Amino acid sequence: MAVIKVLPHSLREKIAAGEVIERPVSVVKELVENSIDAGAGRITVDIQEGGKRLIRVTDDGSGIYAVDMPLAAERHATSKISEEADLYAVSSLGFRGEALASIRAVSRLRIISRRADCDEGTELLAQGDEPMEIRPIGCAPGTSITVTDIFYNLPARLKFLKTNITEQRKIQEIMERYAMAYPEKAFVLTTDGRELLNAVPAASAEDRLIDIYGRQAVDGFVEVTAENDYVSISGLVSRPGFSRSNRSDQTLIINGRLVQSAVFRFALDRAYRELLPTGRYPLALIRLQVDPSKLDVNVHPQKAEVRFVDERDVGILLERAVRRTLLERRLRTLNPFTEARSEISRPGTITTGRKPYAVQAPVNMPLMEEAFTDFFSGKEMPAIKQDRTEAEADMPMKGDGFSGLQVAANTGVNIIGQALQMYVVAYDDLSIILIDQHAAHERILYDRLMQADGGGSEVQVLLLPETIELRPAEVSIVGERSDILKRLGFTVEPFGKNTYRLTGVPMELAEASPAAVFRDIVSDLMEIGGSAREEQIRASLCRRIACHAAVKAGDVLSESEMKQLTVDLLTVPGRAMTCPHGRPVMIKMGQAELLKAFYRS
Amino acid sequence: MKAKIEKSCLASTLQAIMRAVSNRSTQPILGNTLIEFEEGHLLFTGTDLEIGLKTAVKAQVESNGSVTVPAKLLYEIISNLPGEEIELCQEKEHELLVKQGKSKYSIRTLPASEYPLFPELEKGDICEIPAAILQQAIRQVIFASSQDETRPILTGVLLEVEGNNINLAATDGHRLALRSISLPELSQEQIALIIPERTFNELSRLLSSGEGEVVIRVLSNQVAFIYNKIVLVSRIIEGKYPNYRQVIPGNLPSGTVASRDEITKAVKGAHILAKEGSHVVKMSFSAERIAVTAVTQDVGDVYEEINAQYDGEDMDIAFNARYLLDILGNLDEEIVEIKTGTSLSPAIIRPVGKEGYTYVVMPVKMG
Repeated sequence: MAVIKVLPHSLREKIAAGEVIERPVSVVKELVENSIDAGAGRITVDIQEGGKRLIRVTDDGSGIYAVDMPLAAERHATSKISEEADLYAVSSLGFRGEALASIRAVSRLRIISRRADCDEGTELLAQGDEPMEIRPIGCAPGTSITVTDIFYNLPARLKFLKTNITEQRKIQEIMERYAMAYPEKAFVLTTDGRELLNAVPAASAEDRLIDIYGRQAVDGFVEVTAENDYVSISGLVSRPGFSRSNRSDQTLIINGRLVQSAVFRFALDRAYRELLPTGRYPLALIRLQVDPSKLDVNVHPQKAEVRFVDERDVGILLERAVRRTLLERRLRTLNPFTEARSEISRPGTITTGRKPYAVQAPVNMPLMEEAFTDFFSGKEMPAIKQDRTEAEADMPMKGDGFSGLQVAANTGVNIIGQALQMYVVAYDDLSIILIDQHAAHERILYDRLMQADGGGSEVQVLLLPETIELRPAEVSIVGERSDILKRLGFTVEPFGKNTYRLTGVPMELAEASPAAVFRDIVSDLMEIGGSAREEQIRASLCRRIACHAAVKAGDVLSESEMKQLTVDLLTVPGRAMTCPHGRPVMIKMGQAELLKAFYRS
Repeated sequence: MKAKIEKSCLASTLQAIMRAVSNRSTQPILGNTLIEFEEGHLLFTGTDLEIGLKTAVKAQVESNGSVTVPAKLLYEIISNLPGEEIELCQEKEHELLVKQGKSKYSIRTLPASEYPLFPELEKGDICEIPAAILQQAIRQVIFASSQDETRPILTGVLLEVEGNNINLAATDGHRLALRSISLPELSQEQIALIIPERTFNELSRLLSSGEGEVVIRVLSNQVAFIYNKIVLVSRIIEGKYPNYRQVIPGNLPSGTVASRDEITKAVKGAHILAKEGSHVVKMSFSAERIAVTAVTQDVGDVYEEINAQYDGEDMDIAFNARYLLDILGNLDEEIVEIKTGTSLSPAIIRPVGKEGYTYVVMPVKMG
């Protein structure tokens, strides 16, 4: 008996759909892109239960003719391209003719649509492999597509969906990205009638950014532009002082399409080299216009990736443009004195050399005299006080004069001093010890924070409360996690639309920047997702707090600080000797190892 | 160029200039000092582009000119010379000779034309202020400025002219230190400048003799402090300082008056244990006394009590001990007053019998 057989149509459809429709957000993406291709000016998305129960995308686009309706939900049926040549110069977002067919295969689909030039609309009802129902209906111009009970016929996939909150957040994120990609269009997202996003048509990309990130954040961006023969780049990137702990705020739009690109990520990383500490990423909204013939969008069923000719060159173009913009900004703010200087040394201008004050600006002379009256009256210049101030006395020991101070008796460790402004160097009876100051402090704080659960930690109330504008998706997660945040010591309260007011921070963070920490905490929450267990979330947030609160590499430690650190680290029994990210806190070189290294036996 | 100069004058000048010279800049010329030979004196300039110092030293100048040399090198050379009179002259291009008796040092120079321009000292005095008062004011506010580079504005100290007062204010978002100095002759303009903390630190050093007056002058995008024969020019931090007046509570119902020394000792004592943990100390106010306590898990606890006049309902309030010690250590008066509202609202600490100083500190909410 033959073993190989052709699969039934409905199974083929489900398999094909799996590539395009992975979760509710995939449906939103496909439908919103259809709306954009239909020239819609306003796109409204309603969801229920994170899109699992219902997704409805309504637009005011061109609509579908009644005669086209039967083909609309068939695979490889599309109005967007018609011959092979079109495939190499796709100018619409969709073209594969798969979206509606795939959605139809895994859900219950209802389409209502009317062309503006027709008197009445058409309704289509479809469900898996069953025959479609099509009938006339009265409706407004445009298209409204309702997708209910996604994966009702694919229980395996249904099982792999995340919680409603997580799925909803993914939809929120992609809607925010579309809103940024198409500032001229209106985007609305609601869940059970509650508004999650309402972006009215904006005059510019920057104005739209205000809708998403808030006015505060927009000042943190600078504009970037660049172009070559076939690509033009425009966008906004964050100043080095404004960064995130992950890349989720980097959006790349190529010819109106939201895509992922390793080339783009690397280009940004390189542009911010030395300007951001490791593990920090810039925010960026970059828009590329590429000649469609240079672009291959047909590489990924969800079109999340694209290829284009000379990708590397475009990466370099972007990197240079960003780098140049950042450095220009930086020089201008850091060096007020250089401006004057550059005027005389600018190449191409004739300089007569630097002249003494009197000649260069005669008007200054009396003023200088005035400044130096004491000099002209012959008084001695006061001696500069060279006493060691209290602050200096607290400075770390220098290489000379090892005092080898004894740390608390029960550790048996002698501290020699700080090396490279990163390590505490010490020894005990058996070995030489190097302690990584940041990692060690992180571990101590982390353990303390994790232990302090239940009773709640101490809160430093803020004299200057910080208002923090968040993205809509972030607002909902702060709301959901308010209990944990409160227990950790963050006092936040809603303060108008998409804004929170931070009035207290955990005591440990007294020295850190409250707004920066809070933003990082929020991005951690976003990354962890809605389904994580509470202790996972708490551990992750404690890691973040410990990292912010700990002394940094490069911080100069005083004798007493080194002693405190060593004692704290070593006197708690059973303390893990790794930082919360898993790196070692301490390196010991034992007698045997040292003997071997020096070829002694 | 050629000049004769006294070693002690030159040494103290170079010591001052070296504070502004940059030691690890990628631009070697910033490690240099600019020396201008002029009739009757030498002008020395040092800058790291953040601050600039310029000063004049009396000298017998035989011929004029200007040159730059490494400041530290010149200082080390002259410090090592035994005699008093030192000759500086240029015989070959790119070399400055330092001569005394039979000793002769030749230092490579960089051209003066490449040295950053020192800002022009246009007119625009804000005020003239006694050095000792300014120095005290700086000491009493500077510790409250923020170390957080992500909020550049708060890393500076606000210098503000308002009516007949010149105000210095600093805050890190947890506490605020404000010192007002009344001056009879102030330019009536409203002025608000944010001065980098480092500038005030350096200025404070220059003022250590405490005599005479300091002139403060606003330049186009810098500020100049002129004292004795020294001009210190600094960049200004751009931006708008937060409205600090808004956070100073008006009428606080409760107040306690006690000896600064006694409170300091009690808080220091409590801090010995508190610093093993979160640095939090609790103050309990009741009639006739303040109890200062701290508890650190697995370490120990402490109870300190001092006499005080207290007017108000019994209350507990907790603070970061460091914020208390900062202020207590920088006041000069014997008696201080602590005014409180609730255990979660800002408290004020002021010296008794002296106007013009206010310290606002936020409490800690105990877990």
